[in-house]
Amino acid sequence: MPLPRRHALTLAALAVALGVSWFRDTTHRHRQAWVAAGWVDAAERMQARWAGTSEPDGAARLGWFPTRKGWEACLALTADTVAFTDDESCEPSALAARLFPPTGAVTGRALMRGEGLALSDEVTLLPVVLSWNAGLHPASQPREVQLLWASAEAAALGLPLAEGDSEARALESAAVLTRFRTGLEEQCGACAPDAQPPTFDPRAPVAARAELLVRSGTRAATEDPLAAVVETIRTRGTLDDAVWSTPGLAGLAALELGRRGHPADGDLLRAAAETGPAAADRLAARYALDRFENAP
Amino acid sequence: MTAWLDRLDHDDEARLAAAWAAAVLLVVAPAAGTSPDGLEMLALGRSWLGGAATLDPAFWPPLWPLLVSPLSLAADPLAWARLLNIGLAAAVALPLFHLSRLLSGRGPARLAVVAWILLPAVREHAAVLDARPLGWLLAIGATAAVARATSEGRSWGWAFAAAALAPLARPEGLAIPVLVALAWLVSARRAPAAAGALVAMLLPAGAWKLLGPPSQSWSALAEAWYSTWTLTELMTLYGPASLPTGYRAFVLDLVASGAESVDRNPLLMLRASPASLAWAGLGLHGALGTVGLLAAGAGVVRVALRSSWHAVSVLLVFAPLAAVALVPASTGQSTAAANVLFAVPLLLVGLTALPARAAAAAIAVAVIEVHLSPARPAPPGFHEGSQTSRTAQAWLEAHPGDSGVVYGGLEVRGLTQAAGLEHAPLPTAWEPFAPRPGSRVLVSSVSLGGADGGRALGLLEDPSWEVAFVTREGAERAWRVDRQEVDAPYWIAVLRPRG
Repeated sequence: MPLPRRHALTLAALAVALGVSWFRDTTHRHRQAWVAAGWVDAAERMQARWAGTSEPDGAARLGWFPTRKGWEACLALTADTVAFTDDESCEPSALAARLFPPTGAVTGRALMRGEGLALSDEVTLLPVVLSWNAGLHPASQPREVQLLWASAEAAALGLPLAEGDSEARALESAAVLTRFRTGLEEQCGACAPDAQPPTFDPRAPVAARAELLVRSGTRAATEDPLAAVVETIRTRGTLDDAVWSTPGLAGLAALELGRRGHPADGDLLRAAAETGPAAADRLAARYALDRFENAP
Repeated sequence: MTAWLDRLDHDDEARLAAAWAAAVLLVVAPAAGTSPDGLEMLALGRSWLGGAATLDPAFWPPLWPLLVSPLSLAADPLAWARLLNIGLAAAVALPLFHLSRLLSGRGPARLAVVAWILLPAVREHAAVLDARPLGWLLAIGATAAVARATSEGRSWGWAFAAAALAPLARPEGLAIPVLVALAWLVSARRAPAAAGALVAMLLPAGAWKLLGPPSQSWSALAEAWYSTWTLTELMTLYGPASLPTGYRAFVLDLVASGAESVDRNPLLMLRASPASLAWAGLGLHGALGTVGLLAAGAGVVRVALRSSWHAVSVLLVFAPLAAVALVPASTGQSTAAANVLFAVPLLLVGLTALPARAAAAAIAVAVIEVHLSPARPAPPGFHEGSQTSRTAQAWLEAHPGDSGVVYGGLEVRGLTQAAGLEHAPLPTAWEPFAPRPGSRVLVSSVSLGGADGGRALGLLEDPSWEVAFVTREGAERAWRVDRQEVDAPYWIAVLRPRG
């Protein structure tokens, strides 16, 4: 059937639009794949280049690195970890914040446990676990980096930074650049950021915050009843009757106790399964009891 | 131009409007939005043609997966599914034109179509891979078909067909057969026949429910918790909607066996409904802008005041919108507009019922407002389509591990499968975890902040696991579970057994 002439323009427009649309859509995904391949390649080349080498302080190398496709990726490397970013925060401070350990190991681990099921600061938590995983010892870090970490951890714990963001950032830049500026210049020449002298005395207030963090050793920012129950159980504390009579909390407590698998918890689980404050709590307790009694 | 259009038969003009709507939307629509739901539905469609099984085949209404099923075998199924959805969004122009024409005339009908294709929410959501554009078309299609049947004496066939398909496309589609049956009852005044028609229209959805795969839907579990926790809290604790953790399976078995009586009081849902209503209002405002929404509201009232029949029709037509707005689960979507966009064509019909100049001016201002307003909502964005996901996929392709199994949350399921590897759900902290040797674990800012945070942290603390690769991209606006908007970079860490 011949096409009506009046539809020719419509069909032509549809055909052109289809082509443009297809090209636009598939090009987007091809570009993503292209960029991804470049970044993975850069990470692998870095690992190969530095395999077996070690820094005097056992820390990371970091900076801008060209990839085979002309893209620049911001990468950092430890013995077995590669991290990189493409955003505007590709600064030594941002990468250092991923790779240096906290001032106190107890604080870092308590932070991880305390967050439990109610995490919200995952971004600031990641550097802690990454550095922990990389096996870096806190004592090997220069004091500037310890202070930097105290600042980052203060943010993770939700403590206010009295000096404001700009000064905290200046502190980070100064701390990192004094340590790594030479390495950065070797790697990428002019792309290394200028050293910014701190405009305030960074040591006293941040050191005070670091001490505070080490003393407190736990998350102080928010009062989350779910996290509190989990933390109480994980630190071998005793749950009060209010938990077992609160809908929702009782079920979570039962699940967490079931996970712990302590023989003394069996009676608590049975009681929660029979007399939990809500149907959901009784279901959760029965599940926990089932796992508890059939644990390998 | 107008004179040339006037010479066309109105059916021809409607088809022409739909064709040009397609041309415009094809050019202006963004790249495919790879929502997790869409990827699961694509996988479901592929599974019917011999692909790997999906997590919960009964979770999704089957019509969109059925439509994309043959497309899922293509070299680039995302591109084809996107074209399908843009086509469905453009096809909305056809019933939109007819409904507005019947109510206000051809000029306003043209305006309604122009407004539809110029709204950014339409083009942005049309490119998202899920069943919503199909839901838009069936909702306005059934309404327009009823209007044509009652005022032009056309066949009721299209109305019955759209109503029968609607529940198979979207949950709110269940309201469409009821509305069509009510319209037929009023029009034909034969109650037994209307009841029979209703049963017939519900037959396909009922058959799917009875004869389709057995449901493992999380909603059965969610109902049990309405008296204690909100749905959001449930999701936080128990993970992405369709990820069947051991706990969820246990509870569903228990509920199914009748061993535990569970309160199923729907009134308890209303406790969380004010937030949902506000969320729906926010979505409509984001789609139409302040001026557009006010003008549409005025137009709808104007239509309702024409006669008692019009008033009842307006109430019935917007009933699904009210139902969606009242469901607490509707807040957990990619954007506030996602679940309510099906009502926008109906609102445009109302808007174009205003006096011609007022309608044209309101549409012009609304289109400018929704493009330029600083309050314009962000387009739908999904982690699955991010550069972070693509880079993690590239790393997995280069280092797949010996077992070929990757553990992780639903947010990394798509990239894992795209890398040609098997995805396995990362169990919650209280479930046993015995990964196959040589496996990988993907931990993301989503899973670390959500239900499986305990497990992810446990692995990050575990000295027998190491972080092999981390990728992230710039900060983006995100909604945390506590409903605070934060700058949250999306990152993925690849973990592997140490040594």
